[in-house]
Amino acid sequence: MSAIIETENLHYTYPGDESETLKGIDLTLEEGSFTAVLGHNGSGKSTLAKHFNAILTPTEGRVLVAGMDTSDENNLLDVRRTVGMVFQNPDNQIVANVVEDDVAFAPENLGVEPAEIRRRVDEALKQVGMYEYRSHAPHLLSGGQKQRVAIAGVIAMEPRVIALDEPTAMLDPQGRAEVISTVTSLCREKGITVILITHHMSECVGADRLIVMSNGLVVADGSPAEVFSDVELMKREGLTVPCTTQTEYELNKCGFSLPLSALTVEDCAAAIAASLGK
Amino acid sequence: MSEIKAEGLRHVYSVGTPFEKVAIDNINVLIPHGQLVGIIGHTGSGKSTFIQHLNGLLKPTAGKVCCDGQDINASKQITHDVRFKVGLVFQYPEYQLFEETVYKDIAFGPKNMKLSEGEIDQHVREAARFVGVDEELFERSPLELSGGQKRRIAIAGVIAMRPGVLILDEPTAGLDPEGCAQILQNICDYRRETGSTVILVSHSMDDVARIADRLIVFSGGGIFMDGTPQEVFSRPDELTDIGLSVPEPTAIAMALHRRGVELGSAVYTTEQLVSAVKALGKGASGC
Repeated sequence: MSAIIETENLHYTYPGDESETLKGIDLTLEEGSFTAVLGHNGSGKSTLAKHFNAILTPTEGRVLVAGMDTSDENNLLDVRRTVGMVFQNPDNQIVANVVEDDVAFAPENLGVEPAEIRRRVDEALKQVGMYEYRSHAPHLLSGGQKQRVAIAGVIAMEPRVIALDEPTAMLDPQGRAEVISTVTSLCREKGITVILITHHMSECVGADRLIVMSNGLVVADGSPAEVFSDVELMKREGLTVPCTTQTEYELNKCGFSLPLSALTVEDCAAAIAASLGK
Repeated sequence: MSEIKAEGLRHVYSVGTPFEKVAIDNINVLIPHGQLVGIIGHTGSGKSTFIQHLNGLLKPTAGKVCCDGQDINASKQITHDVRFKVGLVFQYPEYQLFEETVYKDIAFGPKNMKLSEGEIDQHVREAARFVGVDEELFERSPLELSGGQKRRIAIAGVIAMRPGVLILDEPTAGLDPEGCAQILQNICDYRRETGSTVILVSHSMDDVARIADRLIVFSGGGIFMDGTPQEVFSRPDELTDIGLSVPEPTAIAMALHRRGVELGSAVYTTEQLVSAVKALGKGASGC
């Protein structure tokens, strides 16, 4: 696999701020991978995401998207075509009165041929499971449905990367599950690189890679099983670990020897049952 | 401290239009003094419609709501008074902050109650203490603070009226785990120190499992289940049918059960799961 996004010594200070929000980030994200980013409020994770499609550009260091330097204004359009963003509040991202018009908005602005727009809109809506709703009014949809329409709008641009900044924060458990399964299948079936910024530990379990940010720096980086196994670090960062890891960790203090990498409910139960001789 | 009672409560939106919709129907429930009740339910199940009836924001299409034995819609004056008695914190309350300073924002409610300056000051300081807002922030603009701080200030604005019933709609949505834990702790402290009735609407099964005395489950505009967390979470299949889940520790306990491991007691928090497994492992582990 090849690198799709690289950050080199990325520093960022918001205009008027005295302290840096990002204090030197070096990351290479592989094309086609699913990366989750965790961190408490104010850790810099949203600021980092905004660098991936040049909403922000570094005050020091650089960001390369498919080899293009995001600080070079000549690259701006190509960078934005390569990386699509989805934000927290679905209501702020929907512009049209009909679902399919909304999805067509981005390709229309990119000057795509009408027949091709039709094809892309239909395909995008099918991918997120919202094709039946193509002629509905977006404001009458549920939060999870609206967020899937917003994702379809991004897919219709045919980006190589989708960065989602807490896309499930305002959704109920079912809407949250819909969105996560949609982005997972985009990555696994379509090979789209996914970067998911979240507060929900459970949403990170299926990622290839988990990055933890704190005070503008990367403090942990590895597979979800590796990162969650460092329970002390996660607690220090004001984060929790999934209930499965927490249970294994507490039991291990008492003489059990369970693998902290058993992240799913089934794996955790299997490990406990085995240790009890069942 | 106040008691809330709903009798035969029904609400229909947009009556007489093509969009007419029965949001809740035949709700009968008594919430006694000092109880901490969790309300759970899928989006559209009627839980928000229900809580908006409890302080008179919505008027019943049929049935009635009583606070301490009095019908809250009996007269305009009673509805007005009930607004101070039953405090409602909306979802994302930080969007409703509007004053120039934190102090003024928290003082808005008590001021409307026509309290004296001295009483207002006392109420504001007490409310700020409950939610952990430092007095140093009082002269700052609420709009320049962090999301978690704004949320706490908005909650303080309701607590400052010293409501006998405090209703919170998804108070932890969108906060990081530490922020969630702090808000839940603040709510528990408030209830313990004031004896207030607290009604918590939440999508997080783990949150309500941890702090509620009683859970009311809404589905399709009616009450689907009503009992202790232990009773409600012992019926996981029915919860899944209406689009809800069980807390993760309960899910692990169920997966253990399928593998022939029987935990002695009901489990819905991580602490309970850990101690139940430890009890089984005794002897083997020596712990």
